[in-house]
Amino acid sequence: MAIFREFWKGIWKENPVLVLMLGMCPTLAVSSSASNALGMGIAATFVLVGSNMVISAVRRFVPNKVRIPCYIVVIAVFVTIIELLMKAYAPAELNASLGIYIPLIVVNCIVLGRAEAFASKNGVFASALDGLGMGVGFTVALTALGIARELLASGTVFEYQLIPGWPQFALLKQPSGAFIVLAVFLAIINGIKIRQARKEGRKYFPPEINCSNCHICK
Amino acid sequence: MKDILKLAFALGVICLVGAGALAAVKQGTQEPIRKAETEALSNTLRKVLPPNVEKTEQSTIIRDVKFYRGLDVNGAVVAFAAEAKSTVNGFGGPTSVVAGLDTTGKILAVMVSAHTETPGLGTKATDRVAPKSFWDLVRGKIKENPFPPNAFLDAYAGKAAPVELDRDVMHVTGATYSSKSVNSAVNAILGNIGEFLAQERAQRN
Repeated sequence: MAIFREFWKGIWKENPVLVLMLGMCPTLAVSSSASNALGMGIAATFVLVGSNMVISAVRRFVPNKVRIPCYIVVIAVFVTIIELLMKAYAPAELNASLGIYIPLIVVNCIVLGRAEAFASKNGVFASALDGLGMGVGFTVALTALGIARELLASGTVFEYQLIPGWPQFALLKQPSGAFIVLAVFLAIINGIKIRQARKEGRKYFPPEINCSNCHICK
Repeated sequence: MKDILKLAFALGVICLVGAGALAAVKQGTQEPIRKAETEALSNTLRKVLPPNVEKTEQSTIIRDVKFYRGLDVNGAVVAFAAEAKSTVNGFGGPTSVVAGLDTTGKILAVMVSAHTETPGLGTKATDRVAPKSFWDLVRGKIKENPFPPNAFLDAYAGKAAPVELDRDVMHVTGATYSSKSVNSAVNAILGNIGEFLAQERAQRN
């Protein structure tokens, strides 16, 4: 079904971290370990789906000139409600691991970016799918980055020692290490896309996303 | 003029609805949050208390050190616990320590409940982690240990009077600041135990 393209595009073609380059701050800060990355990704996915749906529902009511403050208020209220519900009803271990990431999501550019670029111009179901796709793509990219960084830095993956006796490579746990690993990821992905384009006989100009949905440049 | 009024009205309505929703959720979750926090605190305290402790209750606060009673199934006091913040900062900032005490005021176990030390370096003095191997997990041989050993923290067991580092308990090599911080927090507890026990005895009589 064509509508489900809105979901799949967030995972590879328009991955928010690796193609759209949104949400770089939490990507670099939180991907130092695989479990942190997974937790942040899941929390962000919830917020993305919810806020996309709410903003799509009120899109005809919000005037164009004040749309940014309106979106921010909606997102902040949504995130705070999720935080309160988690503190009240989620088990203690989940709170301890995810709790600190929830407030960070308010300022995650992916949420505001998708609200502005997609949710404000499309229906509720499509926006929900877009939020879900972007969230899953964010989680996948973040977790892959987290696994790579954790493995190279201390030989562990999700805190289980994979390679015994691995010397601590502390640089990769710092933001500079995150930039380096991210750069390697982007090089690999662009290499794949260039090879694909060459096979299909066309030139590849990154990032090859369908810009018609977004009016940020115009 | 009408333009600005329309914009302000739209933004105002959104803020109002948002504030209303937030107020409602906050009101509704106040009681569950309080219950969840007391239960989380009780679970943390139970980690340093002997296994026959069924529930904990807050006792007094002496000079910023929070004391708790540990009760068994029959409601009798079988142990105490204390939570204190360090007076000396570690490498990253203050540390908070939770200690289980027996009825004479001797330390049973110590656990660091909050810290901002450098992982891998300062955390040698604060974390109780059992190294988990991936290959053991694959072979199904993982045993969950809720209270892994830490040589530095375990050395405090049995102490009843304030501890001097390097005389009574050795600091962790390469984690001097973290050790000093944890030590100051434990000493904050040990320094006030006498007063707390006296208060408890007076209350019981």
